[in-house]
Formats: sequence, C-alpha cells, structure tokens
Amino acid sequence: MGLLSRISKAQRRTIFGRFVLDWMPRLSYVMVAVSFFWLLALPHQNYSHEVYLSENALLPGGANTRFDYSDVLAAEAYRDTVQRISTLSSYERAKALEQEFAQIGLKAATQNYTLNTSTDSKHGVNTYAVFYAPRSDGTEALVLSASWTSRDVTANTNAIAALLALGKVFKRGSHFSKDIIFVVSDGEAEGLMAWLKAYHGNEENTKDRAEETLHIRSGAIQAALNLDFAGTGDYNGLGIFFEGVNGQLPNLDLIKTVTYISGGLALTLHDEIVPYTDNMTKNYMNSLRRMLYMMKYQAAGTPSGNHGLYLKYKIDAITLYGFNRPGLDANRYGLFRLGSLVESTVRSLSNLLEHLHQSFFFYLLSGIHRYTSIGLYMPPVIILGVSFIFQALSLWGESSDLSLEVEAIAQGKEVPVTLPYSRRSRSFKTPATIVGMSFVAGLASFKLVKTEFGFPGETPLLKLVASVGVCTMLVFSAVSAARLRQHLLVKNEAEKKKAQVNSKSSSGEPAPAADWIMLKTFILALSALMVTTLSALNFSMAVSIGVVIVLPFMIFRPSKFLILNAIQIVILSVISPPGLVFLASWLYDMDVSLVLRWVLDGYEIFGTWLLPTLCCIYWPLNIASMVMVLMPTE
Amino acid sequence: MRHTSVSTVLTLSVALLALTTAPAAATKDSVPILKAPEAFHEELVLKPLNDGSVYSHFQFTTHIGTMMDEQHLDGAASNLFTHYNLFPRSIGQILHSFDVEELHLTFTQGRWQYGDWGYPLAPSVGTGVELWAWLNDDKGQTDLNWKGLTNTLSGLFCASLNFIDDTITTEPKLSFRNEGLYNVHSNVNASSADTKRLRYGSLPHENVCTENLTPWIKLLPCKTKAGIASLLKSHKLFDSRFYSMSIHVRPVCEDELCRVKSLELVQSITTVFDVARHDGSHDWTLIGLFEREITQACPLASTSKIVLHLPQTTNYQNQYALTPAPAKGTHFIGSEEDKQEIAVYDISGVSANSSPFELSMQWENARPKSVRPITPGIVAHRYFTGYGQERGGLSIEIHNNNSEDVESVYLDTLPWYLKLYLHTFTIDLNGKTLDNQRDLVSKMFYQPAVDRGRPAVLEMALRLPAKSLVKFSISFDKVFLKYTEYPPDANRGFDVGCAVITAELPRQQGQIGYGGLDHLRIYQEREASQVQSRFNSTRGSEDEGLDKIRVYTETLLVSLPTPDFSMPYNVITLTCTVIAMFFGTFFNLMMRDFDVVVPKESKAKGKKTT
Repeated sequence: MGLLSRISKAQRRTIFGRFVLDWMPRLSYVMVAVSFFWLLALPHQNYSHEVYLSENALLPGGANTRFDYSDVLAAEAYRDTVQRISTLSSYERAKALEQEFAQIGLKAATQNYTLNTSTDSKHGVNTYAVFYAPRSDGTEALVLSASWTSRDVTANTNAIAALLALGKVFKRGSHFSKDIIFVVSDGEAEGLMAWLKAYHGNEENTKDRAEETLHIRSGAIQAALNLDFAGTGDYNGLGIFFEGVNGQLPNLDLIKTVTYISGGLALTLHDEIVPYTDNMTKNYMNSLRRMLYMMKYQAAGTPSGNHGLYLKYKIDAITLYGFNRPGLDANRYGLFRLGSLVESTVRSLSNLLEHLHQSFFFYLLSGIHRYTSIGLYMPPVIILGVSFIFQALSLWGESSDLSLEVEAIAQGKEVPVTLPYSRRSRSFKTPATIVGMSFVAGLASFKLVKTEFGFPGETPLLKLVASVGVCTMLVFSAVSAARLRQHLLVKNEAEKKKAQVNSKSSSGEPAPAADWIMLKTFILALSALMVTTLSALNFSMAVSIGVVIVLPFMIFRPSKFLILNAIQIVILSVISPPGLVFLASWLYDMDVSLVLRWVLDGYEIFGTWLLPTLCCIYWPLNIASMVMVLMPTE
Repeated sequence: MRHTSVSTVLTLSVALLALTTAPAAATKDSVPILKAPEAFHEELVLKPLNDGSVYSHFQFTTHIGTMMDEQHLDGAASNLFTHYNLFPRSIGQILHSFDVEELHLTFTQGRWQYGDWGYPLAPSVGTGVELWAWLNDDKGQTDLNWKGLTNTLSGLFCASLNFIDDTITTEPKLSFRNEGLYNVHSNVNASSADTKRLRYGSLPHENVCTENLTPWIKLLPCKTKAGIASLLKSHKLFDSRFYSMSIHVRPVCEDELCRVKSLELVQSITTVFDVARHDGSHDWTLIGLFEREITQACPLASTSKIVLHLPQTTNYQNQYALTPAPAKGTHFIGSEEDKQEIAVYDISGVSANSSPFELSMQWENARPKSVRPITPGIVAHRYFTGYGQERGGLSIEIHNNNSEDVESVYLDTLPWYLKLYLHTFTIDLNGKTLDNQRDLVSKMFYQPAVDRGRPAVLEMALRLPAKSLVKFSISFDKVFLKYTEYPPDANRGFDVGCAVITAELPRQQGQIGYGGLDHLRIYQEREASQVQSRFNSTRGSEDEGLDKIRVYTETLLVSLPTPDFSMPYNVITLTCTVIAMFFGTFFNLMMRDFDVVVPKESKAKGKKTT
C-alpha cells in the first residue's frame, strides 16, 4: 500500500512536472508580452499622477521677488560685460568675473583645473563667489551655477549675466537662511566637476587630474540650480533638464517648485514644447516620446546638463534651459522673467528646514506635470526578469530525464514508474568554461578600449576593432572546441555502445543533455540576474537591455538549418556592443569614432556605467549566446 | 602663607566665608581708595568697516563690592550678594548658589568675518550659544553645580541652555583660562587653580531672538529707558549681518596692587550693520542704524560714552565728515604703527531738556576712495570633506599672516556620533605633509568620545610658523543612531560646534580688538594706566602690545545616515500584525492540551479496576 501511494505521488508529481515543462516556456512568452504592454502603458494618462508638492516648507512663490526693472538694466549691463570678456582666455575672463563679483560685495575667487582623458586634455579656470547670508550660521548653502559653454556650444552669456545681477539682488536682502554660492565653471562639465570635487575636499594633484584647493567655502550644499541661457537674446521656451549621472534623479519637489513658481509661464521638459491637445492618441504619443527621451539619458548614464554632476554628492539639482523654437510666440522669456523665476526659486529653497527628502527620488516623467512612481514602473522589469528565469527553469527541466520511466514491480505487477529524481547527469564543464571565458574576453575588451597604450595612430575605433577581433576569436575557438568535443563524445558513445552490446550489461545511463541546453540555461539565468539587479540601480538601462535581449536570448537555439543559424548570428551581432555603436552612428548620423569617444568620455569624465556594463556584463552574455547558437544540436 | 590665603579669598563666593575667619588680621594702615560699592558704566563703540558695514559694540559694565584684601576688610565687602542696587540680583544669586567664580555666556547669530572685519572687541563670536564658567570645586559638586547653572540660565534667558549636558560639556586643559584681572596676579603669586574647575559647552544651532534680548535688557539698571541702551531696538538689531549678545562675570582688581577687588559684570551686544546694502552708500547716521535716539543719559551711569573708531583711510585726507565733531577733537590710541584714531563723545550731559544726541558720518561721494586693508594675524577655517553618509573627514586650515611664529592653542569638540580615527590625523604645512608632527604640535590632549556619554575633545598647543598655512585633517565614521535619537528635523543633519584657536597676537592696525573687553577701560582715563600696568606686570615689557584673542571657526552640518521615518511606522505595524498572528498560533499550539476525552463507561470501568 505504501509503495503504491508513493508511486501515485510520484505520478502526480510527474504530471505536474510535465505541465510546468509544457507551460513554462509559453508562460514566459506571455509574461514578456505583459511586460512590454505594461511598459508601453506607463506614459498613459491613467497610469501617471499629477506631480504634487510634498515638502510644506518650500512655500513656492510665497515670497515677493525683488528683481525689478533696475536689476534688469544691471543684468543687461552685465550681459555686455560678459559678452566682452567671453572672448578672452580662460584665465583672464575668470579673473574679470572675479572682479565683477567682488564689486558686488561678494567674496570671490578662482580655481584652476586640469583634466586629461585618453583622448583629450582640458584645462580651465572656474570663478566662484559666495554670498554670506546675514545672521545665518553658514552651515547650509545653495548653488547657482552656469558654465561658460552652454548646451548649444555657444557662450552662456545671459546665464552669467543673470548670476551677477542676482548676486546684486541677494546682497540687498537679509532674509536668506542659507548662503548662496555662485559658480561660473569653465568648459562644459569638467569645470564644475573639478569645483565640486574640491568643494568636498577630494581634490587631486596627479598627472591626469589636478584641481586647485578652494579658498572660500560655505556649508553643506542643499540644492543647486544650473542656468543655461545661451546668447544674448530672449527665449520663447524654457525647459527643465534633470537627469543625472547614471540615471540619478533630483527630488521631485525641486522640479515641482520651479514649475509651480513659473506658474503661467509654461515650462517644459527638456527642449521641446509639447502642446496639450484633445486628441488622446496624440497626447499619448507625446508622453511616450517625452518618457523615452528621459529614459535615453538615464540609460546612457550621461547627465543631460551640468546639474547631473551635483547628484553624486547628494545635492538635488536641475538645469533651466532657455531655447528658441520657430513657430512660437517670440521673446517670452527675457532677463526679467528669468531673473525673477530664479530669485523666487532660491527664496523658496532657502525656506527649506531640512534637505529635500519628502518627495520621490525615483520616478519617470511623461510631462512636466505628470509622473509615474517607482511602484508602477518596477513590476514590468521584474516580470521580464522572471520570464528569463522561467525559460531557464524549463530548459533545466528538459535537461533532466523526467520523461524516462523505469519498470517497478509492485504487488507482483510491473508498473511503469517515473522516478522523482533525475539520473541523467548534467555537464557543467562546457557551459561554465564558455561563460567564464566570455566574461574574461569582455573584461579584456573593456581594458583594451579604456587603456591608453601610447603607440602612434592609436584611436578608440582601432581598439574597438581589436576587441571585436578578440571576441570573434573566442567565439570561433569555443565553437570549434565544442564541435570537436561533440565529435569525440559521439565516437566514445559509439564505442561504449559497442562494448555494451558485447557485454550486454543493462546499466544504460542516459546520455547527458546537449551542451547548448546547459549553456542557454546559464545565459538566461545570468540575464535575469543582470536585468533585475540593474533595474534597482538604473531602471532605464535595465529596461533597454532587457527589451533588447529578451526575445533573442529566449528564442534562439542552434538549428540544423544553416540559414536560421546565420540569421540568429546576424541579429546577435547587431545587438552586440560594437553593433550598437554602429547602429547609433547610423541613427544619429555621426561618425563611429565620435560615438565611441562620447562613450569613453562619459566613462572617463563622469564615470558612467555604460561602458563597463556593456563590456563586462552585456557583451559576455552576447558572446556566449553566439557560441550557443553555433553549437552542435545534439 | 598669607598669599595662599589671599588666593582663597580671590574665589568670590568664598569671600563671605573668609570674612568670618580673617577679620582678626585686619589692620588699618594706608586705607585704599574706597570707590562706590557699586558702579555702572555704559559705552558704545562704533567703527565703520572696510566693506561698508558699521560695527557697533555696546558694553555695559557693572561693578559690585569693594572687596578688599583681608588686611582691609570692612563692612563694605559684606554687602556682596546681600544687597543689590545696580548689580542684577538674578545674576548675583546664580553666582552665589552655584559657586561660580567666573561666568561667560554668549549668544551669537551669524558669522564673524575675520578676513574683512579683523578681530572684534568681544572675544566670543562662535555661532550659537557658548557658555563657559569656572566653578569652585571645594565641595566636589562641580558637575551638580554646572547642571544647575545651565538649567537656571536656561530659564533666565529663555534659551535651550539646559541641553548642554554631559554629551556636550568639556573641560579644556589649555583654552579658556580665567579672565578676571586679579587672577593674573594670583597666578603670579600662587596657583590656586586646583580648587577651580572649568566647564565649557556650546550649542551651535541655537537661534537668538528678542526673547533672549528682553531678559538681557532687564539686567541693565536703566533698561532701555535712558542712556545708550535706549538705542537697542530689536527690529534693527536683528536685521544685521552679525549679532552677538553676551554677559561676562569676573572678579577684577580695582588698583594696581590688587588690594581692592570687585566683581565685574560686562554685558555686551555686538552687531554689524550692512549700511551699504541698499544703495551702496557707506554713509550712516545713528538714528538710521538703530531707529532710536538717545534723548537722555542714564542717570545711574558713572560714565556714558560713545567711542568712534575712525576709518583707516589712505592717500586722501578728509574723505568724510563727522557731525557733530567731537568736543575734544580726535586722538590716537595705541603705539606708533598700530595707532588708531578715535573720537570720543561724552553723552552724560544729554538730558530731557537738551536736544537728543545725534551722530552721522558722511563720505565724500558716498564711499571711501581707498582704505587700508585688514590682514588679521590668524584666520581659521574648518570644513567637512567627502560625501555620502558612511564616512567623512574634517579639515582645518589655519593661516598665520604674522611675520613671526605664533604659539597658539587649538580646541575642537566633536560629538560622539562622529567616530574619529586619530591615526588618520595628518598635518600639512604649506601644502606639504609633515612627517614629524611634533615640529608643530608641542602638546596634544585627546579625549576619546564615549557613546551617548561625552564628546571627543582634541586640544593642541601649536606653533604656527610665520606666514604659513597649516592644515589638519582627520577621518571619521558616521554612526547610525537609534531611531529615537534623531531630532524631528532629522534630514537637516546635525550641527557641530566651532573650533576655537587661542593665541597671543601682536596688536595690528585697523583692528577693533585691542585688549578685548578690557579695552574699554583704556578709554576711561582713570583706568588707562592701570590696565597698561597690568599688561606690564604680567607679561613684561617686551611682550607689550600682545593681545590674547580667540578665533572661532565656522559651525558645520553633518548628515548622518537617516532612515526614512515613515518606514519605522510601517515596519512596526507590519511586524506587530505578523507577531500577533504567529504568537497567537504558537501560543495556542504550545499551551493547549489535546486530551483524549474518555467516554463515561470506560471511566466507570477504570474506576472499577482501580
């Protein structure tokens, strides 16, 4: 009786196992579909909420601004001055600005820095000035910054003029609780980066990086506004840039404060004005485009403006960007409006009693007024990860011998019984070796791309080609080794069978599952690990990687038809890092070497994770899948 | 023998005790000048600063008791702490009941800009509240007395002084020595410091406002009804760049040989008004600064003066006009290179019948053409390095602008939640790391912190080389506090009080600080020679012109790892639910007995069998 019940239990388990094995792959495809639809639904109005102000202390727009007509005149005068000195050398214009700040009555100083990357050498001088808030203890500070070079790669004249004029306005008031630091950084991002490093006492003095120690300091920086008002004219659009290094975001309250204060002046996300229409489809498409735009910056990890550098130091910051788009009312934003907007924002931030912490740090914006919270956007990535795991599990089950049955003798009868365990051995040697070697190759190509060897004619492109060569060699050798092994195994098997036939022993141990099954299990499990882990660190990067690899990695398997294999290999090559580089250069109509240099600069200057992630995690899995596709089917 | 007993008398509150033991020794030769048992002096020092601000320093000095040495003790001394005329009774009682020898309490808001303004007259300018006192330890009750003192002062001044508890209080070994004039003498004669204990504490984030000013004003004999104090209008005082308010109680000598001693209460208010704030004009008037005028001198005041430090203009003469011109003309104080031109106005004649006292300074073209820049001898800055909430570092930069080496003492008190690593302590001299730290640090006291018990104290005797920049750095770990230990505004961070550098510096031109609080005695002719002689007698003639000053660094804000405070609530409710569920189940399973209910018949059977 006991045996029978045990047998029936085993049978039940078998049935369940079969069911799972049958349904798991299908289920995982369903999950992929769910995840895709969920992601696409995120920008929809019904899945996002109105951005609200969480921190009561901010009281946006509560203060009467003091920026008046005479300050506009002052700002215009400063604009001329800035325009005049903008053509001077770094050092001279920094010194001239220092003088201007000192004239207002602020403490001003300059800072030298040098930054050598593998492709470029940058040297510049920053100017900074501190307004000591009267009767404050100076433990907290706000930063207003502008770089000499704007997003448009022209002189940031209006922004610097606005800083000077605001300095004059602030000096008149006695109601600030925090010091205000003005930073005019040289170059694009490297100047501000050098300043921030030195402010936090991390200045270096090596061959590649040298930052002068700061002479004037204030307290802990609570928030920062970066101004980007290029040229000398007025603007018809004002946008907010907020994405930081590696997808870090400022507190949502900061964005809300600025939008709230701007009130009637329509602010936009980034540099595109999206009019609200009654057409739902159009609205949805606009939201989707905005969200993708944001996710693009997050995924690449490069900040969308200089504000991104602050976030690393736990300083919430955004960039205000003035732009001109044809087809809009002209001259909507002059110095007066910009000045009052910034002043009011600073007044509001100065009200803060604590560091910004009330509102969201993780969100997706589909418009300046609508956000999607982390609770809503995390599930699709997790579902994506789970679908990988389901695929891997079903393959793992396939590699066992669940289908094998043994004859058992119960109550004098022979009953076919499925064993609750697998007798089929799984060979880990081949998949582990291939995956391990791919990671080594990935790491090697990363080192190759980022290291400067110093031989003549050395370009990033050349190094990329070299690493592609390394990886191709790896694929070839792995595939040929696997095929050779297969050949030998088959030979062995045949001999063994012959021997078995001769000896007539019935200890028929089933042959282990094909190597590619094990390898694919490995790849899928590792992909799940990568996607879910990344989603906690950088959601957009995880989503984009997950979406790109999920179908190829799940569907692809070695085929008897050469043409299918070839198609698979082509697709895998396209989504491999070098393929992506070429794809990007084609999409953005840029030179390949420029794309490469952009990635390298991101890594070397900002320390983005794009290059290391692509080379050390993404590429190895891609290589392993290529090997998998080319492996013998049996 | 005599001298040692003198020193015990020095400790003020023991004076009464001494009265009963010593009168037998009293003889009546050369009776010292018995001044009024109580006296009140009021002064206002004004100085236009180089950056267009105006510095104002109110000082109200009250003396009580002609406490004479034991040879000349008479009935006058017994009045001390039993009868009050001018001296505020509330202070007297505090001193008496907590055995306080010397008391210094300063409320400060804003930062003193040493680089622009030089050194202030009132030496304590650390942001927040600073309290330090020398307490008699005869009965070994210093800690109890200190606790009582902080709590009482807290009530008296409507401030959170009661938060100066064991986790904040320190006992510096080298800084904050006695300031009382006759202690200098007594130290020469004999060391009586054994029975006195120093207690020091500061609250960096204490705001100062009218609620603190009102009790402070109540201590004045004329309140704000008359005299210089009538200028104190809180609306204007608190709309300034810097505001500091203090009381100092100390025993002082009234004559050269210190035969007559008295207890001195100095109340001071220091403000820096930014007059150039609105239109860039450096012109100012007294009524413009304070929105009040002096209509009447305080009738209780022995002296009532306004001292104006004239600006140190260069190159051009007569850039400014003073109205009214000082009656006695301007004169110079200080020696040759560091002389300061001052104008003294005696306002004791101002009465209800005469017109109110008015003072104004007008610049030609509203601002000076050129002024002599100020380079303070020692300037110090302190800042945190690093980012993130796990660890950090502290850097202190001390600039010595003097052309000679300066001996100084550095005192830093750090809260226990910063775990200092002393092995990471490094010294950079002009940008180069020193291998041998003993070159600069001659003495070092380090008191490690005790969690929730006491702060870490780092005190060093330093030799600052001439024209140098000395930089210390030290690393620390940040502690993850218990969740109840966070203040309501946990995300603001935690304030770390200022470090203090004490040094004797040569007097420099253009600086306000000159003898500190004693400085005002110099304006009063009767004391000028005395203060000078004190300098001479205690320091020798070669050291003349040295002032002991204290330089305060900035207060800092450190952000500790802070939990999301909505989280504990969620966790608590969740765990409570889960525990209730589990506990109920477990309790049921473990405590409930499953007995087999025996049917009646079998029971009966059982009974039969047994």
